Amino acid sequence: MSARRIRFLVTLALLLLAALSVRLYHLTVMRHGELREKAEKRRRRAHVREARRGKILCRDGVTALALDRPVDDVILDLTEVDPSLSLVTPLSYALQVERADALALLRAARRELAASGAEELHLADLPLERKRHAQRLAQRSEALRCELGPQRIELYLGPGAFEVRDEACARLAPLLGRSKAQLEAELDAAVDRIHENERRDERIAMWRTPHVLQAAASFDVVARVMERAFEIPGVAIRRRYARFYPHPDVAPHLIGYLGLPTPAEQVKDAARLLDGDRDALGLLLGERVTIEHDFRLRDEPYGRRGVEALRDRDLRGTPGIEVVVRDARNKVREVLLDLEPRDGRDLVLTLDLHLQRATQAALQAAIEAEGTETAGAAGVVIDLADGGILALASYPGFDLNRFREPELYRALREDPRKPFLHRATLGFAPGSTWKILNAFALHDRAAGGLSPSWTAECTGRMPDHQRFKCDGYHARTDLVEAIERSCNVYFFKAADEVGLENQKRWADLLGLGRPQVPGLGDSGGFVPGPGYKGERYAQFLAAIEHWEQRIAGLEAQAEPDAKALADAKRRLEHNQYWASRWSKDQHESKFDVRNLVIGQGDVQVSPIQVAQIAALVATEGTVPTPRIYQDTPVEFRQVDLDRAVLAKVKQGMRQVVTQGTASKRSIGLYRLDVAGKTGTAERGSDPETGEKRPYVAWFMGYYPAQRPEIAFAFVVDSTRGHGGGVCGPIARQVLEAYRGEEGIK
Amino acid sequence: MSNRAQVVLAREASRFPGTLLGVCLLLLAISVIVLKSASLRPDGSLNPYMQRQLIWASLGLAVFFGASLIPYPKLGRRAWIVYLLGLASLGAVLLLGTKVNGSRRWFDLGVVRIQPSEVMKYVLVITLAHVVARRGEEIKTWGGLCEAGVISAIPFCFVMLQPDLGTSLTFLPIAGAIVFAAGARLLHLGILAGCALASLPFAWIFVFKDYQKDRVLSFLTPTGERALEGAYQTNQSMIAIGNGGLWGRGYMHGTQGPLGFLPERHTDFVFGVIGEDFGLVGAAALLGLYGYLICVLGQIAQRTRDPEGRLLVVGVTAILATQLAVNVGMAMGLTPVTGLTLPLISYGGSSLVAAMCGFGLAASVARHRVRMFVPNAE
Repeated sequence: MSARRIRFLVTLALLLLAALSVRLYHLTVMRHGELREKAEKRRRRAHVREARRGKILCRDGVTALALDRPVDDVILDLTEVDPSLSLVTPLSYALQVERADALALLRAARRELAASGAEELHLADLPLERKRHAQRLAQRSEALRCELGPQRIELYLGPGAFEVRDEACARLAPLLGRSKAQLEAELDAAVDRIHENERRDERIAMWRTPHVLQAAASFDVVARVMERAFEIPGVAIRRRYARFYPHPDVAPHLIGYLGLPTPAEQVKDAARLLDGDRDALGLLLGERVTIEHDFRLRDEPYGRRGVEALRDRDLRGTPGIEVVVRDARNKVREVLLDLEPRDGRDLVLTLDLHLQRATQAALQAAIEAEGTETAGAAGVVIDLADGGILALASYPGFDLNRFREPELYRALREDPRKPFLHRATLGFAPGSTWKILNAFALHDRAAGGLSPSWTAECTGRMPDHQRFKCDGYHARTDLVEAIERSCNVYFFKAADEVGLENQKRWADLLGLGRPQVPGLGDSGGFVPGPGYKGERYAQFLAAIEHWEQRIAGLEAQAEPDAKALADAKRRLEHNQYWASRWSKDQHESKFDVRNLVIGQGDVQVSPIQVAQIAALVATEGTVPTPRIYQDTPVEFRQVDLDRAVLAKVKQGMRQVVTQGTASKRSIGLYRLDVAGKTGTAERGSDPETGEKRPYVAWFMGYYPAQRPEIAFAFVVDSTRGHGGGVCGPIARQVLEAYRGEEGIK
Repeated sequence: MSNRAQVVLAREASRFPGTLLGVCLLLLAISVIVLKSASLRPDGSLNPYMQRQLIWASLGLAVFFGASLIPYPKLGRRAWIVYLLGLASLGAVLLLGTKVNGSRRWFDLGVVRIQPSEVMKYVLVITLAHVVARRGEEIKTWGGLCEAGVISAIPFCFVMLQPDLGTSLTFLPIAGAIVFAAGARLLHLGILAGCALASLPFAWIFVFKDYQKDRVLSFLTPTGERALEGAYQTNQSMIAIGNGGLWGRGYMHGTQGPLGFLPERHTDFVFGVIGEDFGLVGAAALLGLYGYLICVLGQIAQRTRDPEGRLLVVGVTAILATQLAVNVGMAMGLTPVTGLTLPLISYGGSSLVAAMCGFGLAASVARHRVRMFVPNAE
């Protein structure tokens, strides 16, 4: 017996301690972050509370066009209603089978028990060495009994495992107006979905998420369920907000709608997406959270179109977060953070519900009377006092509450009239309404324009070209008559004298060819200026170069993205085609200028812009910037007008209604104190059939002619009729509605 | 006070291992402090572990002094009686003990529960030390080794029957340390170890209970779907220790313990509470204190010339080191979950009093160490 051996033993013990210290260091220092996070996740739970999205209101600030309405879902906690589900995983271990098979075994047992009414059913046999598994199974459910045989363990299942669920289904089905079999099939499907998930943590999360039996249930159903909830385990009513459009057919394009985030958006916004448990916690571990944080709920919809999308940031609230400390028994012990949800801002539009409805009805009537099968129409009414848009309509529209219903949606998608197009913000050829702008442009004496008293001889057509003609024979015409009768030759001849520059400059003065309304996302259209064809050709050449480089870059990659490559090639072809077309046509001729002067050819402006031209005349040069939101500041654009020209234009526009192109009795405008201008843009002929394509018909103007209050523009795209005949009645109906509402004149 | 009494007192004081007592007292103090933190309930109230542990600690101190006063050679001469008493209590607990979690380990006496296997470890040390020391050089033969083996194997089997795998397995290093220190041939020890390893597969099939297999399996695959009880405890304990970090979350400021995630935090997993409250610094200091204790005991053993006393101290040290390694290893996920306590720190009377008794015996050895070795008259 030597002291050496004792020293050896002591050293051995100290080495053991050293090994433990190394492990201690490993846990406390190297794995500190990971384990600390685990500890925090174990004790903290975040609850997220929905915020109310702001309302969209009419100009009265009361009538809501879109609002968040509380709805009630009937939900069911699957784990509570079907205790047999907790057997699936342990059973799959005990029998060493897949979870799906264990589930199928339990379902078969349920059917058999129900069919036979037996006291007990022999479920399976286990070899003796899996006794522990059997015991664990028996602990999970009282309905499961294991009997220790000499050779094997026999598992018996009583009906108790399914009683709760059977009863719950039997009681719930009539409340929801469904059959018991339907309900059971639905629950089975929900359970299958959970068990298909391979990840245990996700399965647990799915179990915890209640199953929605009926979303947005009616008050009847909710009342019935609440009344009986005490005797049905697991069932509950959950209140949430749902977007609702009280006037679903009013300005659907303008109001817009919501949609769930796409996977791409979920990736983009991952840093601020919350889904209750996990994400909120991830954020909270890293930083201190304040009310300023711009959180989103994972299932919170994004604004997809119209105002809902354009002002999404304002309308959307910020969800509230409550973070609590729970103990191991899930009891709340402490509240760490309690951020109240912040509701979204209400948004007041300048829209007038009554006028909007009247406009929509008038557009519909016009289309039904005069439209072709692909026809659409749009209209805009602007308040001249502050630029507020009183009506912004596009026909056909859709029902904001119901358009997602599959059949309705398919019908809308397949409708040749393209109901989802917001025509009021799209560009069209303005036709003769463009002559009003050109009346100022061509007679702009400061810029080499003609005198206001300049006249032209109209012989029904231009002497140098057959195609440039008038609807009639107007003899010697001055500006007033040229507007009244919409004489093309007057403007052709004036354009021959003056050229294109003035038109472009005057369009720029009014801001035409650019989006008009702040925050509306309207199309700018296109107003050609001198040299525009060359510019366009250059643009195509640049585009060709861009796409050629892009294709070369893609093809140089080891594994080219086939989709991107095909897309690039398609674009290249498109540009090459048009470049080849424009290569022979790089300079605008005087014929091009003539066309543009009467609003045909390449000029494209939206109805809002056309209404701006009417506003220019009506306000005598103090044009309000159109606004759609009441919170947009009122602004005016000053344009210096030649008084002499203005007087003639005003007279001409008044005479359009009294004796000119829109003076027909049937149109009915002659009864109103209105001034306006018709327009009929031709779109050439179909090269295959040689048939003339349908026209774009316009009527724009202001009312009342003496002391203007509103400016308006209406357009019908695709009609066989002419501006006055098609759009005049729209204007009459809208103005009558306006007059009726205002109670004047 | 008479002159003679003063001399005796001075002699006793100089021989008394004050460091040993000091370290034990320090550990007991730490135990009481830590148990206050470990007895925090989620609602902020306290379980009464601290007060009870105070009582146990006083009792343990009394036992320490009592044991240190026993002249251990006299105890050795009665080793067989102690051994048989120990075996009798193990037999009795198998028949009369209270069944907790499927095994009979405790006598429930109403106020206290006594765990005979805790005491049996020390009985085995006393017996083995006595027998091996008396046989002297015989330990180098197979005969002497077998005798020691049989003496260890009987209580080992009794405890296995409870069943309590963890405690029974601690008998192996204890016996091994004593036999090794006594000078057994390394060749013999090697052969025995080889045999033990070879018999493991048979033991797995015929001896191990299902839940014991589960624990071992859960230790081997802690993160798989086999999320069993043992793995849960180990995970929670590792999280607690990792959560503590370098400096700890502060006394009574842990989260894993007070919120109830860490099970058995006042007994088997008390090291988790220490790690969470005091961090690497605190836990390492504790391990250092234990290391110092082992060194103190090793010094006593080395300075003692009497083989019996020497082996006694070696045995006590082996118990301490084994429990320490298994318990702390378990808290950090290095060893499977067994019911072994952290000596002197874990809440529980039997283990505390037994440990203090063991250290008392070591103190007794230290006190008697100057006595010359007197060979038996033969």
